[in-house]
Amino acid sequence: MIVKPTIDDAKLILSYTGKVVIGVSLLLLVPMATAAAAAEWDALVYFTLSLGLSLSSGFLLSIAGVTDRRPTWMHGMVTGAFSWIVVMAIAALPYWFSGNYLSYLDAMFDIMSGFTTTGLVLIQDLDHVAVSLNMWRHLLTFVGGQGMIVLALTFLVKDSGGGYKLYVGEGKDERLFPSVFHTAKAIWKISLIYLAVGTLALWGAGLAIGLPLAPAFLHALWIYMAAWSTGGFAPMSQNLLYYHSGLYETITVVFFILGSFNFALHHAVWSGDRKEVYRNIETVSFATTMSALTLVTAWGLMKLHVYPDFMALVRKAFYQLASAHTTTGFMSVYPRQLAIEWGDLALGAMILAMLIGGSACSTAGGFKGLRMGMLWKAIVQETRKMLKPSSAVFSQRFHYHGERSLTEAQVRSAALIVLMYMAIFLFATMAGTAAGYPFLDAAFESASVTGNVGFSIGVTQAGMPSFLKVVYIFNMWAGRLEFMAVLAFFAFVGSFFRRKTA
Amino acid sequence: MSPATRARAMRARGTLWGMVAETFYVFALSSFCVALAALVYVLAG
Repeated sequence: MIVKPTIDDAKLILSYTGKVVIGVSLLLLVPMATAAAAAEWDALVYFTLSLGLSLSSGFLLSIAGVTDRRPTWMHGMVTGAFSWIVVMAIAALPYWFSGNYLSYLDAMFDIMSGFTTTGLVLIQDLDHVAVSLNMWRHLLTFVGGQGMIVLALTFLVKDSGGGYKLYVGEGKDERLFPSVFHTAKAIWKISLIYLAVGTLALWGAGLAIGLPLAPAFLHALWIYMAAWSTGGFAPMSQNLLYYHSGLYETITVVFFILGSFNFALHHAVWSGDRKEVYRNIETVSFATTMSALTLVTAWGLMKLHVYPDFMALVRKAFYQLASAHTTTGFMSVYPRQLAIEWGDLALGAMILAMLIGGSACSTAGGFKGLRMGMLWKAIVQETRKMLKPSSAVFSQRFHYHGERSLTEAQVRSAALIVLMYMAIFLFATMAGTAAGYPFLDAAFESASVTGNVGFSIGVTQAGMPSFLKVVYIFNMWAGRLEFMAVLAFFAFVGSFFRRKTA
Repeated sequence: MSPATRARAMRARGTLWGMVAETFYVFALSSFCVALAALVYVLAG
């Protein structure tokens, strides 16, 4: 049990949460400008109203939390978890005002799905929503990929010591520079440079398939944002299937795989260490599991003769699998096609891919290639130990921005996080079966929310039970923050309200 | 060319080649996966 927190601890957490809320509120200026440019006056009114309400909430929290205390690890962790909950409730305002949601819970579900870069949606009539609302949806998922706290650190929190604790609280722990402020800036630089390149490429592809100039640009911008952040949102309800374009699919594959890379890897490669991309334990782990799961998926599909044509097999199988493994969630098949046609073997491979996910400190979810690589190395080490004399000394090494020795602490930490991922995956699977869905459908959707993927087999709909929506929101949140901040949050709340005991 | 401009140009060149190296990794991995799918197609087809 932790030491009972004081009012000053709570104030400090409220203060930093207020700063994060203000940072996210200021993003509303983008959809407001879009609404004005597209002459969507109703949307402009509800975005302005939302800005007023969210800014006031942010300032109130900041003022209520004024204190001289310096943040500790506990404050950083609890703020990381708490600010995601508060921002979910506040950022859902424009969704709710738009009239495209059946309940406020549905609006909050879509916000959590966007911020965690999951990509599942409960929105109604997506094909006809306002341009500004689509801008808000995709902007949220883009920012969510880099991290809301990274956003707040860049503009609002200059305090380096406290800033790093907040940064770790959001599930990121790589420092690209000694200063966390410069690290946050470098993350934005990488994302914005790729934003320009990716949007241009997709704009060209949009024009090539016959989209008019302005819609081609907007679709390119939104699809890029969703690809890079491994979010999987799309402006049309058919998702990537809407475009029926091999070119669009090829470009998005490149950017969502790049988006699933560790920001530290991008930084190292851009700084001249180009060999790192082929030697890093995360890219090696990703290439290994991706290749193995391609074999299994292709085998499963061929067994059932789902795609008798080779090009169709490659295009559908590779795209869905890469999208699942990078936790993007872009789909070029219909959800029910997965359930009815794909068969257990291919779906099993997809579930595994979604749970493994992309790289640590990236926009991707899942339990990450770094941990897969470490656990594999630990298994190899244990096997060697069994086969060699007891006096032999072992040291397992791995390449991760230089050669490193594998330590017991690293293995224990990786195993605990994988264990917790599996626990909440099973919990959401049981919740799905309790709601009456078949086991495989419930497991597939559960892997999708737990790994922040966004693939749907048809379970996630506005009509699903409310308790299942809450379970999915919890899994998206806990999976994105990688548990430590979530556990710290519950321990803090429990200790805050417990009675003083001797 | 001033040292600052030269440093900026070097950083830009590093970024460009870095992006090329990363994209090449994606294409190499994708091609390998397509080759594996082709193998399965031939063996199971």
